[in-house]
Amino acid sequence: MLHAHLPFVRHPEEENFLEENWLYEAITETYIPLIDMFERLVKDGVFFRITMSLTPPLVSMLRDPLLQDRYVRHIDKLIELSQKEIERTGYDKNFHGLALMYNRRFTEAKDTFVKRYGKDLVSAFKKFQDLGVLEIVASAATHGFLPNLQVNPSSVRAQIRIGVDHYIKNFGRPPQGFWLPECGYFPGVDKVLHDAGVRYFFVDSHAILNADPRPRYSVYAPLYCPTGVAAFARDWESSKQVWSSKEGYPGDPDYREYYRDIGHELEYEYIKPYIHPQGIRINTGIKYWRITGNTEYKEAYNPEWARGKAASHAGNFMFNREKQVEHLSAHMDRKPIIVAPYDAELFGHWWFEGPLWIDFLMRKMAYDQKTVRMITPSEYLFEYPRNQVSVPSRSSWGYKGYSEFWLEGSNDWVYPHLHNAAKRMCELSGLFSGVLNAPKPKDKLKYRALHQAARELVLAESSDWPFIMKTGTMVPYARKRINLHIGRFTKLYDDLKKDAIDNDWLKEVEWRDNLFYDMDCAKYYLPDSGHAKQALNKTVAARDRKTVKQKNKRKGEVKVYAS
Amino acid sequence: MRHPAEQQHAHQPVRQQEYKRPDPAPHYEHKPAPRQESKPAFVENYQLPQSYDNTQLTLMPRDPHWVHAYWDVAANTIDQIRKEYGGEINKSTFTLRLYDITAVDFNGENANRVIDVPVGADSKNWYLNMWCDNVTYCADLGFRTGPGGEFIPITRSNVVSTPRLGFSDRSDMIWLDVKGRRTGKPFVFLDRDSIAALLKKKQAGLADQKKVYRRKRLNLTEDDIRAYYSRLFPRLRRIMARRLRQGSYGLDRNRWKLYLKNGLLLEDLLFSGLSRDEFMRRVILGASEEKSLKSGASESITSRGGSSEREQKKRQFFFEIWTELLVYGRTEPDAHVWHGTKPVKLREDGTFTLRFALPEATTIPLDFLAQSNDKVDSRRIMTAADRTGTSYSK
Repeated sequence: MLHAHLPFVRHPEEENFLEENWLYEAITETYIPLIDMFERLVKDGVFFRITMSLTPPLVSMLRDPLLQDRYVRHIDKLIELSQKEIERTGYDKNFHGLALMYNRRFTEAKDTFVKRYGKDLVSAFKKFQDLGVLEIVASAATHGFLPNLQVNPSSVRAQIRIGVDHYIKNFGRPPQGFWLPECGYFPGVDKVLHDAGVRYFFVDSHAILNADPRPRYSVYAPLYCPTGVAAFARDWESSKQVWSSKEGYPGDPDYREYYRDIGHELEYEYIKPYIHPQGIRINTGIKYWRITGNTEYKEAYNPEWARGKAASHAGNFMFNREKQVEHLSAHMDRKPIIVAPYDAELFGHWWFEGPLWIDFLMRKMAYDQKTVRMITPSEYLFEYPRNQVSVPSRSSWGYKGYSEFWLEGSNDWVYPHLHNAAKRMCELSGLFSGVLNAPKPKDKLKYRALHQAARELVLAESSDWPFIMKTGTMVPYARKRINLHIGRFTKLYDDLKKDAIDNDWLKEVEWRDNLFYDMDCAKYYLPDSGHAKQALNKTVAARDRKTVKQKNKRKGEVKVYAS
Repeated sequence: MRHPAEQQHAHQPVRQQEYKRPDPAPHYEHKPAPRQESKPAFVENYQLPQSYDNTQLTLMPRDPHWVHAYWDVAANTIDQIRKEYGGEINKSTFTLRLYDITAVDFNGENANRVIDVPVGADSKNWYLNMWCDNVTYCADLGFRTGPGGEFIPITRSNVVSTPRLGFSDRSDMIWLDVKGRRTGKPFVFLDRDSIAALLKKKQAGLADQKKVYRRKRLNLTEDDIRAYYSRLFPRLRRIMARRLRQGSYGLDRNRWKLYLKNGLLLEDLLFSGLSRDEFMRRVILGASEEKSLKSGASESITSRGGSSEREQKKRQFFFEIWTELLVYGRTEPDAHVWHGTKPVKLREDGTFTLRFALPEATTIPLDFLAQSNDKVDSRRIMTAADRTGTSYSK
């Protein structure tokens, strides 16, 4: 399970915006390598299954023409820099090969991005989902941390519903699964998910271990919540092997060091055209050193050694899973499932060799053993539709396992504003339900203002802002974003109540915060209407027909393998 | 903050492509119209208010042992209270009164336990450290006139539950079939003979140890499930509590459906590990009471601002140098220059610059050949740049 998410950092108002680089770096280092890897595996006919979540802000940014073109500009510059690097390192035996490698990677990335997928990487992921090797699950509208939004049930509902509808729009079918942001679960979320047509979601291990009643199969089988939505738990052992900064694979001395980037190290005048125009040094993505050890002393990166390490780590991971499954099978009367969720950005961006490691792992799983098989959660539910009923415990996968990371001294000040705004949004949708429910909106200005207000609210609810405040890097940016979105929301609220909407201002704000521009966000704050439910039932029925068809097809395939 | 990208690189002009607004992709169109260049600057400067001037108290559970509370009191609320109670307010302390309402239908009087937490007059939020997990709380904000004195409430909060820390005591298994959209009815498996055994035990007070593996599937009704999970939902909790209070369940089997066919109580099967007393206590008092009875309660400790574990910052002094070699020269603008075998790009005025990384203990040979455009004149320059090994000392 790979969870891909980035906050919405689209800033059309400025030519070069520092935070937009988060997206560009992730595209070059994570999303494109992952797509290339899927392509290689499919081309070689390797059996594999991966579950992935793509959050609505990420999907929107990947589909945004402005950002797509800016990315092309970004990668062009990187290619140019890497060409200069090839020349500059001509007499440096350690780095010349690396400069050539980066040049090749950037050129190939551009090729994948522009030529193969017409700048739309979402279509690439969709392609693999339609091929049946990848299962993409939906996620909340802006990655809002739901346990902290629980005070306003309408907020939780809107986050989930918008996420699901956005998914349907982009992937052409209703989602089977849902990724709860930060695995933040509280009893009651499952009801909203059930109403949105979702069949399963993911939680951290202790949500299932501490479930009431106790789970029969521990974390190695899903639990049904009383509503019939399944909860899959993260397996602690496999997580630790990859995540842990001390024992985990990514900390190996042969892997590439993330924190040494030529953007910070090379001579100022030389690197100046490739960093932020204000002269702020940033990561370029060209890094020449390997981790080496726990000190400042670093040695040059050697791709061959790293490749070897990735292969042996993949072998080790597979061996451990085999042993784990053998052990579990002895105690269980069904096949255990091991869920190993990771942040997608870990692979490639932080752990440079990550995509390579997955590649090795998939191949080894397919050819080197017979104990474990890759499976998606919906396939597992198809195989085992009968599961125990229980109520998972409130939890998250964050620090200490609960809400502390998003609710503590540095960021608790945002919640009064968020909760108050959510209350006001409900008030607005109630006040103007006539405008919202009209089949053809007469008062277009109010209609637009209402939806924009809802957009500003969901943007402010993103869990990324409290997260950044806690981690302590880029704090002013996070504060600014909260200020901006709550400020814009409050202005819209006041204007709507006074019936004095500033059209020019609204236009500008719509242009700046264009997330979900094609969705009627305010409607999600209306009390549940029969119409919405009917539409949902239709889509869900269509999905199930499709799934059954697919499953039947797949069954046939398996038979062929067996014979 | 606009940055006209004017910087030109030293020896190669950077491609400065004017950013053009792209044609929108067919599937993902921009709704807002493209911006006009002549537009006035868009200035936004928001100040979030300190208070929204409405009286409220909100609880947020943080983890099994911490609850966060924030509140806001409108100015006229204070005035009102002042009018009503007069000078007493000045002597009293601002207090959060927490009610442990696990498994009760709270009406203001019937909390399992009441905890008063004095909070600072000027603070607007507080982190409450509770000593029990898996408890449902509700709170009042108000003034308290001295210890044990009168409590003047201002506002009541929402209801929150803290998560359980550790395994659940219930180990019974209820099952469910979900196929596509169809969610079946939940059911339990029962050993036929264990039912008989239970009956016998009831009749004779003797346990039958015989184990038989034949199982019977028993569908549960919605009421059963509700009763079972009653602690999750306040409304259902009320029904459950009333039933237990009245002690009438079992008399009317059609109504409550807690009975099975053989006259057995469902709890006997579901809560088979618990004695009747324990079961009652658990449902009525909730786990909190149990825990505090077991371990002995300590006075609640409160603190502001959460845990502030700040790690001692490691000293991070660093000092590094790198060397690069810049080679520059000039010739006729239309001449050709080679460095070794590689052609060198000349600028318009015939100058050129080359730049090389110069790691330690490296020699860079500089072997240049220039040839005029008509291939008549040519000149060669040979030299080398050398960097010796590096020594470090403290």
